[in-house]
Amino acid sequence: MDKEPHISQRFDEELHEVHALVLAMGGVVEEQITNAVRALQESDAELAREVIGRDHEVNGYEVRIEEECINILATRQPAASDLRLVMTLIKTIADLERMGDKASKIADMALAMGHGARNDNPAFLRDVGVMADYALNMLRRAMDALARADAEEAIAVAKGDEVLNQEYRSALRRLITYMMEDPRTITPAIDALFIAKAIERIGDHARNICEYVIYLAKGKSVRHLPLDEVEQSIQRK
Amino acid sequence: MSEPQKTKISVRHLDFFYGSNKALIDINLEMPENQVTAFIGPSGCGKSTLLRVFNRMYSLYPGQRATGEVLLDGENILAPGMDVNMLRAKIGMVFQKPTPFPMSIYDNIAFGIKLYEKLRKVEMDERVEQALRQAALWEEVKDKLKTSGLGLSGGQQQRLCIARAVAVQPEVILLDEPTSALDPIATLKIEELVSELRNQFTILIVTHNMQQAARVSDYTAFMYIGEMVEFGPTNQLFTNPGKKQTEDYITGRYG
Repeated sequence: MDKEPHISQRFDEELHEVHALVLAMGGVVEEQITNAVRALQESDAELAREVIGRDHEVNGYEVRIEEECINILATRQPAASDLRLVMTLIKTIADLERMGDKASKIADMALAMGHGARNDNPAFLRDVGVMADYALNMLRRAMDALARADAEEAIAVAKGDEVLNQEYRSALRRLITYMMEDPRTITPAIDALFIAKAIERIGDHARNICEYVIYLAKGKSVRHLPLDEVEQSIQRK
Repeated sequence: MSEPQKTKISVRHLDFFYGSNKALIDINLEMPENQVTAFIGPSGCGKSTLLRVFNRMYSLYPGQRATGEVLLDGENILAPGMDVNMLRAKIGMVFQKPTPFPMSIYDNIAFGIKLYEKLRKVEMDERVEQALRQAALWEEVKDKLKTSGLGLSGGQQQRLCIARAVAVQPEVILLDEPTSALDPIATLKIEELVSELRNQFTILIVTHNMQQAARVSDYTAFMYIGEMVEFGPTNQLFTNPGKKQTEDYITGRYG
């Protein structure tokens, strides 16, 4: 965001610092998801344990950023775009933290499935790989949009969430078919289903972040509005 | 919240001059009844000047003049035939520094009333009590009404001035930085008072304290070097201002 500096240089530094921390947190969450999915696909128990062990790092970011935001609210009483930035960051970290939890959960599943040697049918995980790539791309672009307060990009990413939801629904249908054909696949198919659901949720969180970015850039809350309406109202402004 | 509001004061194409120096430039503004409108902007932007137009304070000084229209309930108060005394009964004012008269608390209130009305002692007592209650000062001074107003604390003195202003039952109250000389607690009391008084009066407040404007007002006007840059609902102006100049000012950036 190209903004003139504040009269208080220290305030600029504080905002910049907390903004940078949120972007760094986004990077860690992205890594966590990537590694969790890889641990799953490659049955890499060590990597899965690393992901689980690193979740506290994500939580640590959340606590620290929240503290800094509260400090800014208390001492600077930010207004207008500064206020919107602080609110956007506070809300974004909650979603990032939830995404981190999902990564951890996927890593848990990787461990469980690895031990039981239940993932003998790679077809179950095929959907997961495609969906994970898509969700990660959404997260990356959402964080980019946040870094640049880019409402147009945020809308484009938010719209893409529907694709991921579709993917989830077709994965669900496919997995149900497996289960009906052969009851022995029920356990691994349900595992795969939980994982697909977790990834689908990651997309929802990325979409939430995009909605905050639109608020940040345009000053309008667009939560719970149809995206086409949002797009039109943004172009009007 | 969005019911149509009656306009109490409308300003149309108002220019104001200190001699040859133009201090207000084509101000246009509609202020709704029973709402608090705050005026913010850097020193010298004309906000106090504008406030002083509303009760024709400027006409005390030679060389100061206003052109355009200021309509109070549709009547142009700048018109030459306007009775300034009656106008000031309708539009009361409270200043930056508390200005109690050097007389008793009771007489501070009664003084203004006597200018406009003849009341019996019992009625006057009632009016004084009512005014002091409206200004949230009654409980603190009811046992010392005959002592000097100058013996009160700064915050109490300012509330005494507000009581004095409301005692003559005006329609509009002008507050020119009413808390800038007060400590934070006294400030909060005045702000609390403002939110109560708005049920009965239309209130215009000039303040340097932007958080105060955000807290007490329904509408905010941002002025800059004699011009009205932006006017709108306070919530909107402080979260999503329409103009970059407003944004820069309220976020503390170089404009």
